[in-house]
Amino acid sequence: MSWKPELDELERRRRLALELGGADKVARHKGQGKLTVRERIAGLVDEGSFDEIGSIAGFPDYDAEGNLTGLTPANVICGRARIDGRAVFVTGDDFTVRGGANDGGLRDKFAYAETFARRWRVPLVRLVDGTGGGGSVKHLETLGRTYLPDVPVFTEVLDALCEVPIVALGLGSVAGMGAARVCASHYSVMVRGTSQLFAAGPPVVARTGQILTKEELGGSTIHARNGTIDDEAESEAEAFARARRFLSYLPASVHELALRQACSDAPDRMAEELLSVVPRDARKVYKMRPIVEAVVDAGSFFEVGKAWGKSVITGLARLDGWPVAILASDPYHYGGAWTADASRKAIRMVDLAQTFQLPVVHLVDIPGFLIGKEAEASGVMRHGTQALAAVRSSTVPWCAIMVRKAFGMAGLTQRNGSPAFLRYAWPSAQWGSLPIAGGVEAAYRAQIEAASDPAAKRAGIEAGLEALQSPLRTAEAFGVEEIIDPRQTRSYLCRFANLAAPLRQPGRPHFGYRP
Amino acid sequence: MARNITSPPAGQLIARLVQEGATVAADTEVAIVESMKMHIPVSAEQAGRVARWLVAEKSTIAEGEALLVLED
Repeated sequence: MSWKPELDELERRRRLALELGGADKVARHKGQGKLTVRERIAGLVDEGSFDEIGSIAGFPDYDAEGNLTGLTPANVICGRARIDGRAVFVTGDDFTVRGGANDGGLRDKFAYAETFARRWRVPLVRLVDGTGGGGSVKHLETLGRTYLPDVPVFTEVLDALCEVPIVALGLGSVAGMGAARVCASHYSVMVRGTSQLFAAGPPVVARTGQILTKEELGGSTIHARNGTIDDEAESEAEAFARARRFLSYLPASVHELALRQACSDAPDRMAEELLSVVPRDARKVYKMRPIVEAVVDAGSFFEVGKAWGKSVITGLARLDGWPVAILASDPYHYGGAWTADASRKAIRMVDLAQTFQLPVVHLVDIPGFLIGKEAEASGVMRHGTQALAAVRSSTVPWCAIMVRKAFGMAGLTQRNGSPAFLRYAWPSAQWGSLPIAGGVEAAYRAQIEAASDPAAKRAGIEAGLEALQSPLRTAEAFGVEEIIDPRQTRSYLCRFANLAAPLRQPGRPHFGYRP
Repeated sequence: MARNITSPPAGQLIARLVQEGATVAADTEVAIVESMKMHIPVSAEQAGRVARWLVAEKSTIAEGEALLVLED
């Protein structure tokens, strides 16, 4: 006598569960160019590493004699797995069962899937494909009443952002709670063409008089440019690759520290091109991304949020193997001036760095916050001040490379609130509380107006002030830690990363992470 | 499909870098806009053919204003 018959029954249920919502629904789903939830999990995690939890949870059918005649699995599939050999937890919505809505799921399993990662202190990856929220209004007929909107577990879902890395991939049309679950993450990606995200979808929006397709209402191109998500991918496979890459820079939880990787790129490697990369003509721009690539470990720069808030470049990289967060100005956009969006994007990266104790490198070329009518209408000073608060309240070790400009209040983001900050300036650096050109007009108006040739007078005053603007003069007064040869930037940064590593402190962040 | 290339910043169009009829690759710089006292290049996001310019050199342009029409 053995328990083989029961194990056979278990196996039968597992096989039924693998059929998801049935062959027809699966075929229709795949016909739209989408993978099934199980294919997604297989594509995301290390081969053979998925260790499912709740594999036969669902909605069984029994005949009068109590024999199982069918099983529709719950539409949340979850389990432990590995990514690059490191433990993670994965939860995926099954769109083929009730469109991924929660009336096709089991409340306890959903809550379990959303909280496992924080309890076991491992990263969470969500594969979101469905509303996951209220489901259909038809459900009310069954219930015979309405209810106050609440998802009790959502308090824990949001607080998990202070505990473990959370990556969310929007892989279909996600609305309501599905949309919120994509946004409630440290890193989010949508797939171009096959995923959309909205508070409510086109049929509901049509009632307001706006007739729109899913793509027009909430396609990835819209949300990657407004910062609702971080990045868009061309395929689900690319989205999985981005999720894996993002997690490679982070610790398993806030209670651990990010791991150093072996580094084959010499920490003292010189970058000859950096001697002349910044044009001497102050009106000319230059490309910042190649500068970032030239100073971090070869091939280690992973940009986040490329399509929005473009005047600041944010991302993750390694220095002598240590993971760090990167902020860098992009003079191609508003000359590097921080817009409302750039401020929001910088906040997101600085908060991530603080939460997971990644030292920050900031390559600075900031003429100020963006000025003008549109900038004011966008609320630039509110968002900008929030960015200042995020930067100056962060305590992770911080190193600025002063590449060119640092002016005004936005220039304060050159350093954070950590006592462990360093600022290395290139000879092309220039700074001040306000740019000379604009300031001369205000400060010397009387003298300029009184002159017989006002234009010549103004030019003369400006030339005199420009001569004072050499960073060497600031360094002579010890107003900046050091002026460096740009070609040696990498070696300074690698020494910073090694100096910073022991200062990182595991534990919950001192602030509540707001996604 | 025709689409517009727009100017990210408000400012003045100081130079058109491509002629009508020219074919451009993705990331080609098509115009220089002066903004925040900087000469900021505007690039084509995708490849295409320049159908027509919508803005004359030296014109003042608004944020997001269409500069030229690009066709596949």
